[in-house]
Amino acid sequence: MASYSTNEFKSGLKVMLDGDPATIIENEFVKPGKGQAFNRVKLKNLKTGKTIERTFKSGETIEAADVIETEMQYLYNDGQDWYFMDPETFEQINANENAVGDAKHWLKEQDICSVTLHDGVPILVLPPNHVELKVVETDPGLRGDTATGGTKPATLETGAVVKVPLFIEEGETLRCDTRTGEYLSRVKN
Amino acid sequence: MNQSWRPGASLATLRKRARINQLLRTVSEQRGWLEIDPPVIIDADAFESGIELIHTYDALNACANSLHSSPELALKRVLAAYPQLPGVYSLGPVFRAGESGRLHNPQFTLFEFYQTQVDLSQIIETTLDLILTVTSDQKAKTPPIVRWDYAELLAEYCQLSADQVYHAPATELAKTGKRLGINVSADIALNRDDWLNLLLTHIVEPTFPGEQLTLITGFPESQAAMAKTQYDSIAGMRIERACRFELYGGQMELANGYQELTCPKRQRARLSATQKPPSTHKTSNQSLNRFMSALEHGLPESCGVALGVERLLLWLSGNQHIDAVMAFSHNRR
Repeated sequence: MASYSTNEFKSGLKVMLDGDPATIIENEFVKPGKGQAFNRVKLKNLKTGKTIERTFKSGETIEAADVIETEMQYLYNDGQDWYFMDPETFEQINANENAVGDAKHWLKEQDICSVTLHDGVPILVLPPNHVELKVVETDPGLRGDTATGGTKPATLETGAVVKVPLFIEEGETLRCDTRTGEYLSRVKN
Repeated sequence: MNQSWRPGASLATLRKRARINQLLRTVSEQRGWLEIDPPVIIDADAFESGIELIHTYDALNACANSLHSSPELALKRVLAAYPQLPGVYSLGPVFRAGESGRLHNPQFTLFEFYQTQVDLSQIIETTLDLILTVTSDQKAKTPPIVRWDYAELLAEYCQLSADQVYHAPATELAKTGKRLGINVSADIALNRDDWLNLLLTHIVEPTFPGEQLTLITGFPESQAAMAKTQYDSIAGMRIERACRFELYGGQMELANGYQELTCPKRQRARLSATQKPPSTHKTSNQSLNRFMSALEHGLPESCGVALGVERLLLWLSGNQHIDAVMAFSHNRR
């Protein structure tokens, strides 16, 4: 069985915790000058969606999660589940709200997403790191205002709300980072 | 493009660092302390609890050596040889295997100083004075200083009695830890010092305000292998505690100080009682043997303090990661 030592811990690593697959969200090395070293870890149980904190002794090993990470194309949402397709086999699979989590605000049809499978069932969906999405709602743009550095909220076609510069207008396409939820740039049509 | 060739610290931070080094040397010189360049390569296995050494190969003698984790052995040997000195210090790199994270780097800079003929309360004032000198040079505001007794601190934040703090078995401290929400992996065995440390790092330290200097004294005897101990009267009990202090800047350990153990017999006993990390490389331990010879010759009454220069700079600058206060941290080496 594959396993990871605490010094391999990093966010995104998939491990088995209390019999469930989990992903590491945060890993902090903690060590008093005169004492044992520990890793204080925040993990997300991929079955329940619950976040837990666990402290490991540095050097301890933990079983790797028996999961498969695949690239799949997002198709549509039927109001309950999100549907994805394997671009090679054209096999379709549906993921529930637990698996999709915050990714739902970033999913655009036909985008290639990372889908983690456990026993063939999707347990985690991550959108592409960078997405290009259209602004569907924002206050009127202040044309030419590229200098003041002010921001305003803008709602994107997938439902995500990002802070954008004041000159952004409805209908424009923006490049965003889904990991930080930040606006990166305008995309010229 | 990969930017890891660049320094992690900004130019302004590197200037601050150089300035702090200079200040530490100036203050030491004013106090009459002698700067010593200790050997970085030592012939010793791990001898302190929780500190693993980085091993090197000594081609001259075809045996294992280590990189020092502090200049303690060398500085004390100088004091034993020249007891007329008011103090000695060194400012340079030290090494600890496996320590890497937001506040740790396998190599860091330690300012370690020893002052002769002073007790713990005097060295505490010297240390605070030194930190405030550096702080006033870097910041306009004088930080508040709060002093805690270890037993009172754990009573306040973990509802432990003094008897529990110094005597309760690990299982009882584990219950307290769990009650306070510390969730440890089921597969590990922890001793009472491990649990006390977890209470400190997980429960107590997060309550320290960022701007504040917090001083803790009264550590259990088991948590300072090279310090003197004394019997204190606490809650009607006589408890043997280490003559040790720990100084925090915000939630970070900045400096640790001991009233140094001078009795060779007690030192030998305490080092052999210390739980050492398993050593995969056997050295001939000459450095530790020579240190013991120096103790037998006679170490003057003294106190020593180790101050982490990167930590001090983190605290002063408000940076969140040690990479931002070093030219090249481990990941950029």
